[in-house]
Parts: sequence; structure tokens; C-alpha cells
Amino acid sequence: MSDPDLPSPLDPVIHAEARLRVMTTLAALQPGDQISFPRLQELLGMTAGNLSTHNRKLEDAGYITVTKTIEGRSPATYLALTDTGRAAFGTYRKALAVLLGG
Amino acid sequence: MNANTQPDADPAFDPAEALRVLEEQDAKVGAQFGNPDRKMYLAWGVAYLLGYLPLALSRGADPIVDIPIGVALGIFSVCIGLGIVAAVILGVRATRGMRGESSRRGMLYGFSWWFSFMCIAGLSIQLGKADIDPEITGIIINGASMALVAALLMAGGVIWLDVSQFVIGAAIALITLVALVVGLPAYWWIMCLGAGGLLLLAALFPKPLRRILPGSLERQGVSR
Repeated sequence: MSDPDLPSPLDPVIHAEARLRVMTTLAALQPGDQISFPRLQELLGMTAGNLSTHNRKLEDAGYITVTKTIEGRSPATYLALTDTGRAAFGTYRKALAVLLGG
Repeated sequence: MNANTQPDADPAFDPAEALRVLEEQDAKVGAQFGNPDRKMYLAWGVAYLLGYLPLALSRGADPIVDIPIGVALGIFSVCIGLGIVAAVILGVRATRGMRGESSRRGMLYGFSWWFSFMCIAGLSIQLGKADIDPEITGIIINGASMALVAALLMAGGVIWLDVSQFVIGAAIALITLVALVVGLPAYWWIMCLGAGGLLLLAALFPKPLRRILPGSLERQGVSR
């Protein structure tokens, strides 16, 4: 376990299992694509409430965009990574590799 | 205590565990997102192999099996029909719950198949009216269709910058050319083993294919 007094090189916004899963899934989308909330939920196996909470944290950090729209008559929510989010995820991945690879 | 105002990083979340989670999720979404090219090759490889086989077996001066040309062409049509159903399902599933550039691109690409093959249907109507040997009708319609398949596969390679798909399209064009030049009855065997075999190999051995030819640019920077 790492020393809690040392600043972790891992971005705290991403370094939690649920948010890491969200970021990994969104990073697999093509730039310019968005995924619907229910589809994301299905891929993550999380409850809607839990997923919303984590999404808000990622949105507050500017890592993801949450677009609310109307499809037919029902509201729909679409999510995507921002450029900042994509860059942050790349940095996180590299930091993780450095940390574990020595 | 940590006076950090940033979201609570899980202190118990071990980096090694994080890497495992990341790779697991990556593999899971990698299998579901993106171009379902391998499954398409598999569906069409099987459709061609099974579709052309009765024609290949029953044609020529000394046929292996006795199947009337109408029945053999009918079996071929059924196989192609099933291939189309599989392709539509795969295409729709690939962009399920998504919107944006990829789904638009996929939808327009799908339409380009429908619109161009409607002309083949028109060609069949006219050839059906004419008093021509059904096997000659078959080779004309089939040759035109395979030329279109090749062109659309190459176009797909251009759209997704997927060299593998482009090369597979070009290979289908060459196989069709050879089959047309050689002519009947070998035509059916060349298409059966050539086109069907090629697509099955592409579906079953994607790694050697990817090693020789660069794949699509998708997921660049995600996979290592």
C-alpha cells in the first residue's frame, strides 16, 4: 500500500473502481460518439443512482459531457468523454503503468 | 485527514487492482464496440461456402450430385438472404445505445448496400424475362453482385481506414475476375472455395491478417 502522506501520482477523479470503469468504457468510444445511459449502465452492471453519482463527479471535473435530449417522447441521456477527459485517462494509464512497471 | 476538495479517490484501491479492472473493462467493451468485421466475415464466409456448394457440386459435364439448376440457385438465394439478415443484426447491434459519427457512418454505409443491390434485383427481372440459359443468367447476376460486394468492401476499407477490409474487397474482385474469365462450370467452385474460403480465413485468423495489414484506426491508444 502506498504512503498516504505522499501525493499519489494517480488522478483521484479516476482512481476509484466505478469511475475507472466509466472512463475505460467511454474511452473505447470513437471520438464524436456518445453512449446512452442505459447502455452504459448495462456494460458496467451498476445501479442508475450509483452511476449518476459517479458521472456527476466526472462531469464536475470536466472529463465527461452529459447530454440530455428527447427521443420520441421520452427523455434520454447520452455520455461522452471530453478532450480533457481523454487526455486525463491517457495520463492515468501511463501513471499506472509507471507505478506498476517500476 | 486529507483536506483535498477533489473527489474522494478510494485509498484502498490498489494500483494493481486498478490495472486489472481497467484491462477487464477494456476487453469487455472492446468485444462489443466498433466494427463487427470478423463476425461479418464469418457470416458471409459460411453463406458463400454453403450457398455456392450445391452449384459447384451439380454443374458441369460430370456432376458429383444431381441438383436442378433452379434448386441450386434457390439454395444460393436462401444462403444470401440469411447472410443479409445476419449482417443487418450485426450492424444494428454494433451501434446499439450509441449515437454520433460512427452510427451515422454505419447507417449510410448500410443504405449504400441496399440501394446498389436494388439495381441487381432490376437486372434479375430483365434477365428472367429473357430466354437465356438459367446458369448463364446466374453467372451474370452473380458476377455483377460480387463486383458490387468487392467495391463496397473496398469502400468500407476507405471509410474506416481499414486496410484489411480493403484488401479483402480487392481479393474478392480478383477471385471474381478469375472465375469470370475461366467461366462455367469451374466458376462455382472458384467462388465457393475462393470467396467463401477467403472470408472464413479472415474471420478465423484475424491476428495473422492484422500483423500483415494494419487494421482500422479505431481504439488507437486504447489497446497496447
